[in-house]
Amino acid sequence: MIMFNYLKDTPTIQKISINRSVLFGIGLLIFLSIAGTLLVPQFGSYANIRSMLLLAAFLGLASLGQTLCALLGGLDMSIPYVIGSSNILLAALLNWGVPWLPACLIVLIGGLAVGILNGVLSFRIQGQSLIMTMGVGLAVVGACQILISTGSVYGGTVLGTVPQWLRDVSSIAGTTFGLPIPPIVIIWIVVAAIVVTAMAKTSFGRSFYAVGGNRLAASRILISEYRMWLIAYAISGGMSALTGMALLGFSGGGFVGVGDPYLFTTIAAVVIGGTSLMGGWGGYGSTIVGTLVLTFLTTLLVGLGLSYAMQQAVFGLLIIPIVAFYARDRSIGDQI
Amino acid sequence: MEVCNSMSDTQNQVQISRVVKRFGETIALDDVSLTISPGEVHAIVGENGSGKSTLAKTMSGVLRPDSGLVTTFGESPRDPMHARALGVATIFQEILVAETLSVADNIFAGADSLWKRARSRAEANQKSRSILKQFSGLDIDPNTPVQQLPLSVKQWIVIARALLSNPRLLIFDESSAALDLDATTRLHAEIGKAREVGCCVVIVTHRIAELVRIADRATVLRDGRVVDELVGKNITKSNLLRSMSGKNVAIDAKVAAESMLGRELGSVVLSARALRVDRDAPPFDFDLHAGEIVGVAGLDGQGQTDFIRAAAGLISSHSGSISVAKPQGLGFAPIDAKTSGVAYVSGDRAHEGIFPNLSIFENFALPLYRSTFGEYGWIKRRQIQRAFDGEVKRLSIKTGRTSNLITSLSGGNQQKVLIGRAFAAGPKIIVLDDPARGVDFATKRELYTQLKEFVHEGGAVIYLSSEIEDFFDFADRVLVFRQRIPFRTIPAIRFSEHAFLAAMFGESEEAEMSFERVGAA
Repeated sequence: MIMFNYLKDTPTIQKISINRSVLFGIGLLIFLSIAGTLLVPQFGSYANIRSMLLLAAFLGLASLGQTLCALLGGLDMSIPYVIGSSNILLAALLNWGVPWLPACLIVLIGGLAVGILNGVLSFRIQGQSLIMTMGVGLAVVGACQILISTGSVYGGTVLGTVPQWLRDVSSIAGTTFGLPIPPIVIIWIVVAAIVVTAMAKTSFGRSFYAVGGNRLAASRILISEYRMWLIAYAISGGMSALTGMALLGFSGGGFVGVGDPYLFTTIAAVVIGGTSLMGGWGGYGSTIVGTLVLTFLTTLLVGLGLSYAMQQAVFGLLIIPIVAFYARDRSIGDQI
Repeated sequence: MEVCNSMSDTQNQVQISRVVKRFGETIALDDVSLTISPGEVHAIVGENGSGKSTLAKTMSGVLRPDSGLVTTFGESPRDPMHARALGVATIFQEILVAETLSVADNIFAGADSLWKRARSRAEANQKSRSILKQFSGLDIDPNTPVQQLPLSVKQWIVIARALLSNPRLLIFDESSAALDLDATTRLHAEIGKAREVGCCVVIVTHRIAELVRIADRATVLRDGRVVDELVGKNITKSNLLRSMSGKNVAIDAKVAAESMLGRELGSVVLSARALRVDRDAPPFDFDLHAGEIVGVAGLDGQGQTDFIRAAAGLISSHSGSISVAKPQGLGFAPIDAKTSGVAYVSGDRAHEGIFPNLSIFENFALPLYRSTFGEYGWIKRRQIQRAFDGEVKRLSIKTGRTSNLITSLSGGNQQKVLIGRAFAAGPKIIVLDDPARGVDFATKRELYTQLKEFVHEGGAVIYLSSEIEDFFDFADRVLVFRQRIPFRTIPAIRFSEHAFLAAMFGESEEAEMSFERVGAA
């Protein structure tokens, strides 16, 4: 009788993984919201929620590629450098009088190209994606600074005016079709919806899970592992470039160090969401939860009036038990 | 039980008493007891998977028994280092050398302590040179990096390393595989010298002729149990083959042959010409017909795995060609795993079969996604659901909820999902690499029934198995690989366990025939 249970199954490809770690993440979000509301005045205000969503959108867009790379068992450490590079490159291009559309396309294509290079190197030189992508990132950020040093550079800062439309896209006061939500948040929501659906419902999306779960078995059913690596890293490079450009609108001036926090936070968002860095488990839906947890936590710590040093210490100390929890969760899951 | 030996005996002997070793469900050693006396050359023989290498590994401290006791000279080896301290030297099947280091460094690897050289470099070089000259007959510069030397010299380096440690127990685990006949004779001379100084020598080998020459005592293992112990003159080819194959000697060739009646061979669907499985292997030809089940057998590492992977289009052969018949008899095209309609099923499920992170359904459906909906296509599950339900029913897979992880299934049912996956792709040829590994008897039977049905409908099957009995009543002919070619092709009518064993061990057909006469007498 158990045999025929499969007939009753709902026709979903894979339940959009509401697994233990995602539930835990959502629980954590609720806890942070309650703690924030009780401890920090204005935490629940619309202005604060909007600013948290804005920060989450930057992190969420930057973590998309990291999630795909992690699903395959790789890492992209070039994200902060590509964000910084695209940030100053776009500022410089606009200052040099390049029209906005070609300027944005140049930066985006540059990001994709860096991603493809990362993919080639990480795949060809197996198991070294951490240091490979970091090397590529450093080279790119250095080259970008050399390239635009003809302009006015003071410690990585590109002075100049950022066009109003770009400010509107990602500033806190931005509106979308009259709604008081910054457009970048809407962009993130649309991207997230597309990615989550594609990962669950297309051959292409499922191939990521196949390669991440068992690469030899994937090659036996003729899935090209190399192509999946190239695509994951290319998307990562492209999304990093996009984030870097959006951050230019947010901050109003080019600064090469703008990507620095994203080295840690993109990986943390992936891991807190419950995606295994060993590949195969998790997904972008999980990363969204991880992104929100990280943003809420940061806002709470800032709201409590902790100094930057103090925030960092608390942040680090909190990450350890959270990740330890997931690591245990995963190993138990693997044994079933 | 065997503890009644006097103290001095225990100090000089290697004793294995009632050793049991399990790997998961498989019992590799089942209550094995034996004693190796000083000055004795003790051979351990058996088929693939009979437990002989496991037994050698318990003596060298690589594996610890689940129960029972291994006593080498009065102590139980805890790990390989401890075993070495007790005087155990092992020469493994894999040739373990540091490729980038020099000959001398390899021969004296592990001889120096952390801070102090055991001997000067000049002394080490001089000694390396003389010992290699003595063993291999070649004068080799001891400063040469090992990677520049041929396999046989590397083998000698490993043997020299073991002998120079003045072992009390010397274990050869399939370690003459890389040596030719002449070198083997020299190796036997060295073994003889070790025996004379009272060393215990254990030889694990597939080469029956070799051990007939030098063994004082031979222990025969079958399915992890000691089934025979032969001494001195009783160690003969025919006695060994009979003991290894056991009670199944007279397995019914007749029944097997009858089952083939009424099955007609169709046209050639896959054809290999001048195929070499690796650079040094001799070329051979092979034809696979529609309606045919071809078994592939051989001792480990004789090229059979490379052959079937090449036949499945997964790896390219070293040279020669494999081509597949085009539909409607339009000639032949080179094999291509993507387009040739060849499905591959591996028995190594964990390694190259299942996706442990995905559901039962997806493990079945993944290859169909792309063939049905395209590379970037939208998945419509209903379209695949019917094929899935069909295979579940046909192969009677016990699934539970199909959204559960594949790892929730037993090994046999996981394998059925993978076989269903292969069938669902609508192949013309199915290549199976030991698919019945770790699968229960009933499942195996079902699988054979399904495959027979498949060939009745015009398909063709290549089936590699590590278990000889799998072929009876199933395969039409079996290619027995030896030294990287099909050494002998045995037709169904001549299937018998000793026919397979004789071919695997490279015995001539006459030896096989004479053994048959001995068996009949």
